Amino acid sequence: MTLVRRLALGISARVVRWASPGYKEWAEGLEREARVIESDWAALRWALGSTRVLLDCRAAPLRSLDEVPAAVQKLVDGAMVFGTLILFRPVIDGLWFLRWFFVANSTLGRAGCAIGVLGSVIAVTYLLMEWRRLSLIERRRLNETYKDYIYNDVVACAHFYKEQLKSCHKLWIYSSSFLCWMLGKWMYDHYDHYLHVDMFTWVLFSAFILFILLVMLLVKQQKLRRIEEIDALLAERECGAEL
Amino acid sequence: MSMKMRRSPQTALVLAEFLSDEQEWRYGYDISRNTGLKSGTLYPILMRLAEHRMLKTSWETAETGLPPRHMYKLTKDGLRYAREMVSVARELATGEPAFDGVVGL
Repeated sequence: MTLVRRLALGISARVVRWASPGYKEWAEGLEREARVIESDWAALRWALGSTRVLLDCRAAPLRSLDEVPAAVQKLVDGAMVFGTLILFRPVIDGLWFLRWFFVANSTLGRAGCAIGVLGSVIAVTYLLMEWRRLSLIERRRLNETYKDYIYNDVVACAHFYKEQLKSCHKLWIYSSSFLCWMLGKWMYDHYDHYLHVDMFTWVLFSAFILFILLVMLLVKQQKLRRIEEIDALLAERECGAEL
Repeated sequence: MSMKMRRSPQTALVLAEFLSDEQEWRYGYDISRNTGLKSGTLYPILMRLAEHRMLKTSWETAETGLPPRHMYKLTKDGLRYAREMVSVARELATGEPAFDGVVGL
């Protein structure tokens, strides 16, 4: 086996390993093709092109409605853990801003601290509401009827899953609190400590905001895909029932 | 909000390739060779088609000892969409209605 061929197969194998669960099968398909391509250089070009699969990430697709109850449980559990973990950040930031509020010398510096506290209040309220919604209402409902969903009514469970996915589209509320913190910190530093923000900090800040926006878009895209998958499975089930 | 299929010229090329033999299962590399599309362009199109339930996938049953290959074929919905899209693409390219103006044969 030539070096070029070995390189092509190595790249393909890594693409399979690193591909997100939803694209694993496709990555494997690409890898198998790379094995049968006769020209070594063509195989290498093929393998390099296959790295495109790594740019997108996606959860494993739902193949049947029977997989929905487990996906619902995963969504609820994941949201609970994530919500609990990111609850600490706004609480700590809020306490810092509150402390600065009382030691600030200028009115505008104090206003900045108030904006920061407001950001924390928004984030904490949002997270507590989400946490309560998931833990008290949905979890209880799931526990009571989880077995029914699995064995009797996967269609109801699929509709319930769709509701959950749609109601999770409110991450922008949490993100708005980030903006409040940034603005609050800038006002406090600028008006109370006369600190001037340099270019590097602005670039870093912009990159951070872009990153947050990208993550939000990715999450939203994944949810829309999942909703489409559920719709398609429900449509298939309806067609089957009609026949 | 629904994610729509992108009507790109490359998608039309892939669909036209599938229409050249509707009943045949196709390999990725063969489609790539016939359409001139690179794997990084072709596979996202195939994935999107599969997402919209327009393409079915299958693993070849291996008989020669080689690992099975991934194969693709349009579903009924996919065939309908392909005929419509290829027809529109031809209309745009020639400025005349394809198939004497009949769409969705």
